[in-house]
Amino acid sequence: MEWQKKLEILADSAKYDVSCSSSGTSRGKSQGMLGTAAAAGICHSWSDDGRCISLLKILMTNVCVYDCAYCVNRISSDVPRATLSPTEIVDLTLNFYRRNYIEGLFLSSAVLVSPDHTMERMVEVVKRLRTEGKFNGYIHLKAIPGADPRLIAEAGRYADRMSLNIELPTKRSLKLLAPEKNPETITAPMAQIRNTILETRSDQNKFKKAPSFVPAGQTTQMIVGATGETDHLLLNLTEKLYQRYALKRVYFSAYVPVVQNHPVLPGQVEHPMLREHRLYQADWLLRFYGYTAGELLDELNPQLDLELDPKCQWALRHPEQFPVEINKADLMTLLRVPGIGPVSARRILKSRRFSALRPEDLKGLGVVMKRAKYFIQCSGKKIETLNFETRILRPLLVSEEPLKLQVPSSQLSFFDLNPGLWIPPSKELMLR
Amino acid sequence: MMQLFLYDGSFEGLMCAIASAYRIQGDVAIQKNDDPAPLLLAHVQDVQTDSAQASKVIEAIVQKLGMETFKRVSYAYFSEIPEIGTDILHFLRYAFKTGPSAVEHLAHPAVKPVFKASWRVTREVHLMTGLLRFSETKSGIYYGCFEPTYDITTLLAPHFASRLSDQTWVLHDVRRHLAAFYDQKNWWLAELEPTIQSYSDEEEFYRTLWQSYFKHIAIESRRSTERQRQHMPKKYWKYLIEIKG
Ligand code: SF4
Repeated sequence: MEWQKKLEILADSAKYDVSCSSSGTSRGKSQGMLGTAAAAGICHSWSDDGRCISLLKILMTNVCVYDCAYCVNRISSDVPRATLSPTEIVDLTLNFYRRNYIEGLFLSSAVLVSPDHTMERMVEVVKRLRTEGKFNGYIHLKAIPGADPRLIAEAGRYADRMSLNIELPTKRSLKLLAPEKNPETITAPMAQIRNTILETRSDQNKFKKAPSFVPAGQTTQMIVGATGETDHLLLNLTEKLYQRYALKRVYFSAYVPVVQNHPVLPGQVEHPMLREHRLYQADWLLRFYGYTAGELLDELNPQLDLELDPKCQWALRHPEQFPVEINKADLMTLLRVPGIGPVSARRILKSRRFSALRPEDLKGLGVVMKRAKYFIQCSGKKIETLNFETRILRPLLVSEEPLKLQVPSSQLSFFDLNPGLWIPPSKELMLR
Repeated sequence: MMQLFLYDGSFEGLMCAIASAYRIQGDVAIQKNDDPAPLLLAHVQDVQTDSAQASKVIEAIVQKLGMETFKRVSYAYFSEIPEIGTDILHFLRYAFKTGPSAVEHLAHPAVKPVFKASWRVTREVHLMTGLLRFSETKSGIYYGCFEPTYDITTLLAPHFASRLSDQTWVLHDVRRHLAAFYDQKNWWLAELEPTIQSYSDEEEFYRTLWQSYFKHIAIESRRSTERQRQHMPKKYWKYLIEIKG
């Protein structure tokens, strides 16, 4: 098969993967090597669906011996198959990189023959890229669950980032939908990677020349909307994953229906992108804003409100915290104001040192006033004198959500989102 | 009467104009000598560019106000906004009075225009580190052309000098007839008229592969040209290999 056809099939197979950022490590030039890594990541293009293209994101092969129900590439599915050889992947990566099409490689794979066989070939790719290709750009490698720990250890010497997909939030869902995978083959390598990262860090403190190991850390990804777990459960798991495995990111990937008339999987998912988007917003609040999962959702409010971002949702439930005084509040308090983010909060702290800020100054600092105005005051003066009542504020805030995210006003229930769902969701998380 | 200082358009020229205008009381403006002068009633003065004097001003900025301030000033300069010379003058007067923290007083009227201009330039530089495309010519040189809104070739070249350090490349601002050349060791700026290149045999091959990759990595059912354009404004599409027609 010619390259172009293979590339098309393997890009098609990889496109639903969402964890393709190139951030997390910064590396300057190294004599005789090709490439650098930028801490903040660089987007090289935006595809027709509006997503950033940073890395060459492909599967090594989509030939699979497993039969995960939610996956187009499962053995029982009738799709065109292709495999790129290590030589081909190395060549593509280097030539795309030299033309500045990409930031590096994001290599993932279906299970070809066996986990070890697959992982061996993947390790060959990254090893040859680094040694023969003298490639110093970014590499993200998706490890294959069940592969020999020695292969994981070797891969980590060459990759900037590694990830294992947690796939589904509960053990029960995993067992139902991905019978060949078991939670331990996913969490054991995650723990191995975490431990090696920690050891490496302490080695590097002792000797400068200690070899590196996934300097950009590890991430994971889970499918959302294929099974019935609530957002509350998803966020709890997310928080645990961050705590236990020191993950850099947890990615959510909205389920794309690949089979009809499946006993468990929904044939259709309503607003998959919107739910994914709300989960990401909540995830940001966990990582950068000091919220806990328990603050955002609980047993009584188990789902994120699709119509309103989670920070507004939290704010509306906590009228006692507002209004926040712009000229006095500390960083963490400012961060909890809808319409203020880390950048604008820091700008507020800096520029108010020189003179008290007035409402008209805030827009220039990056504050989104149409949201923030209900929640703040400047030197004792409120900006909006509306009563802080959810009944009044909520519709105003909803109407100011970015247009493309607005949900049609029909009542959306959890079961609308999961129409094919009939098994009661289990609560046994992938992590105890 | 308004005092208008004209400089030759170079950064050094601007630094000299700042030195000349710094202590003038009353209305002052600084402009490039080829910008259309809107001021009929002004006392016009041509500033001679003198490298030694420019260095002194730069040194004063870096030493008394810090690198961050210097970076903001130089990035703002590359915005080529007609009023930027005057804006930088007001900013520097304020900053030398206030100290290194002045650059953080983003809401202050003397700081805001410079901050805004430099922010826009910074953003375009960051965007172009991703959007620039190189093509391999017959002679093995990687040639990349673009038409940036701001004059960012100088700011962009160091990024590629470090990233693509083992290949020879040319970064060509076709609109300004300006190019950065890199010989695997150093980079330098020179004038370059728009040229037609002939590309290597493999070039077409990798372009085609990149185009199919681009097409297939998009999720068709989630098509959003609006979001795509929001991140990647149409004015940059002309040189993007993946976007045809
Ligand atoms: S192992 Fe991976 S590629 Fe294979 S069926 Fe499961 S999810 Fe799909």
